[in-house]
This record gives sequence, C-alpha cells and structure tokens, in this order.
Amino acid sequence: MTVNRCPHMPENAVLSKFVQPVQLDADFQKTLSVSSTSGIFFIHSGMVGVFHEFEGQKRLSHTYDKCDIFFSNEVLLELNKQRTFWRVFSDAEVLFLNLGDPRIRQEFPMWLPDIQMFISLYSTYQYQDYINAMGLDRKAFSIQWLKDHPNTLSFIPRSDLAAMLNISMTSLKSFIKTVLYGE
Amino acid sequence: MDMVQFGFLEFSECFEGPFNLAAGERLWDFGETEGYLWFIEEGFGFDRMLLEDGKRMLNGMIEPGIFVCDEKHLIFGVPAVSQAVMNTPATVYRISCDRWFAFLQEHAPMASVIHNINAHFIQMRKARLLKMKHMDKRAYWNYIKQRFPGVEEYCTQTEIAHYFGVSKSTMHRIMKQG
Repeated sequence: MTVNRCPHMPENAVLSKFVQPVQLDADFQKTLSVSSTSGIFFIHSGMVGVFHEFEGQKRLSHTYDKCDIFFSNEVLLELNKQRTFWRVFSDAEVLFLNLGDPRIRQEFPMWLPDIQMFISLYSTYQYQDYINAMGLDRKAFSIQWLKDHPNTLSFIPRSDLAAMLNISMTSLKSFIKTVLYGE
Repeated sequence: MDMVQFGFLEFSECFEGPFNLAAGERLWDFGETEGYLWFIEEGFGFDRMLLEDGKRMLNGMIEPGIFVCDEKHLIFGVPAVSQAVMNTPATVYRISCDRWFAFLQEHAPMASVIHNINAHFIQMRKARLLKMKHMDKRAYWNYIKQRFPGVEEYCTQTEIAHYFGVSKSTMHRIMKQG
C-alpha cells in the first residue's frame, strides 16, 4: 500500500471555485502574476510552446496541448537559467488554479505544502519524460507526434518543429508526407 | 542553515544502513515494487531508464554524495522503470520512498528545502534535454567521457546512443572520431 502523496487534502474537497478560465495572450504570465506564485494550468483549447535559450538561440523543446497540465515553476524567474518562456501558438484557453490565492491557503492550510512538493517533483519528472522520448526511435516518434497533433503544421515553423523532434528538415518533410499522404 | 529546525538530524535517522555492496550489485531493478531513496557514501555506478519501446537508455552516473531513486516509483508509487547498478564496491544508505514522503509531510521546513532542490533539478533536466537535442554530438560525447569516467566500459553502445538521441551506428562513428 503506497502512502498517499497528498494526505492533507480532504476527500470531498472542491477546488472548482478557485479555478479561473483564462484566455491566453502574450502577456498572460504578467496578467496572472505567474512570476510571483505557483499555479497549475489545464489546457482547454489551443497549444502552448515551451522555448528555452541555448547557445544564443531560442529553442522549442515541447508543447502543451488540449488536456495537458503544466506548472508555473517551469518559468519562474528566480530559477530560470535557460530563460524558459511559453509562447501561445493559437488561441488558447486554459483553466488556472492559482495556488497563491489566499482563500486556498485559508481553506486547505495543510494541503498547500503537499501539493507544492508534489508539483516540484512532478515537474522534474515531466522533463525526464521529454528526455526519455528523445531516446525513442526518431522516425516512429516523429510520425506519431505529427499524427497526434494534426493542426500543428499551420502554426509552428518547420525549423522549430524539426529541432523539437530532434530530426533534420529533410526527415521532417518526409515524415509530413507520410502522415498527410500515407507515402 | 539550522540543522535541527530543518529536520536534517531526524531525517538522517530515518535511513537504514550502511550497506556494503560489491561491484556489479544492483541498488534496484526494473519492475521492483519496493522503492527506496538511496544515499551513496562511496562507490560509482550507472542508472538506466526502460523506455516505452523496451529499449534501455543510459540515464546518468551514480557517485558519492548523491541521492538516487526511481523517480516514477517515488512520485506515483508504481513499479520501477529504471535500474541502478554499482560498478565499484560501494557503501550506501536507504530510506523507503513511502517513509521519505511521510517524513516530508510531517516536516514542512524540510519539504521547502526539497522543493527548492527540485527547482534546481528542473534546470539540470532542461540543460540535459537541450544538450541532447542541440549540442554538437562529438563535443557532448567528449564532455560525457570526462564527466562519466568508465561509461564505455560499463554501459553498452546502444544505451549510450539513446542517451545522445542517436542511432547505434551514429554513436559508433562519434565514439571513433572522439
């Protein structure tokens, strides 16, 4: 029997009153004060790309799509050596659970440290998952990714996409043909 | 930092050990359901991830002074998806993942320390992901050879190739050139 990772959350707790729907725009991090607190985002529609700076260039490393969850600690200024930032690729709507909301602290004082701990572990593990994905066969992975994200080609530049999938532009072109025309 | 306030002394008392391992012994294996967080006092080894297509990928080196575990088990309590082997004689201590979680739930100051450590881990993982994708592979291999001495001796070329996100033949070429 595994120990409950968030034991201080009452079983019938209702969080919906703390969740706000947000239309994402370029300034949404500032609008939501994401830099000063910790929050959880659930994507309802649209896509968000995660970029980092590496060797002087902005590099797309992964995306968040419908039903994905992501966390503000990925971009917190205090610990962001890679200058990670989110870019909204298409009109995106998210549900935002702001853990800095004083009402949450008041209602679930014991739960907040649990969930913050869990978020920090889970965020770290998410990156392990992205690393593991790069160890998979590039052709099979890339084709599956393109099939799973059919609308991506209209708003992510091909060069960013090839870099994200860790393949050459020539391979990307060939995989797109395979996905679109079954060649 | 106040060792008592943050619970470091109590934390250290939760560990079992020391355990003395011979070269080749495993800290944990794929599929194990009893998970531990290990502290390495002495010894070197490597850990590997089991990828979803059944391949094994080198994940990193185990060295003195670090804590290691199967993170998936730690976070979700599911069977281990990685394996860790000590390649030299080692002295280690361990705490069960459940006990570790329970300890942090009872010690908020320590939990905040771990929270900050994890934030640094995210930076390290980001850097690893970016190097894997964008760093010149030959330069990266030369860096890893220095960072992980003995990697060629203890890990297969296929496991190393997956670490770099390249095919086995490409890895072979990089290693020859390097």
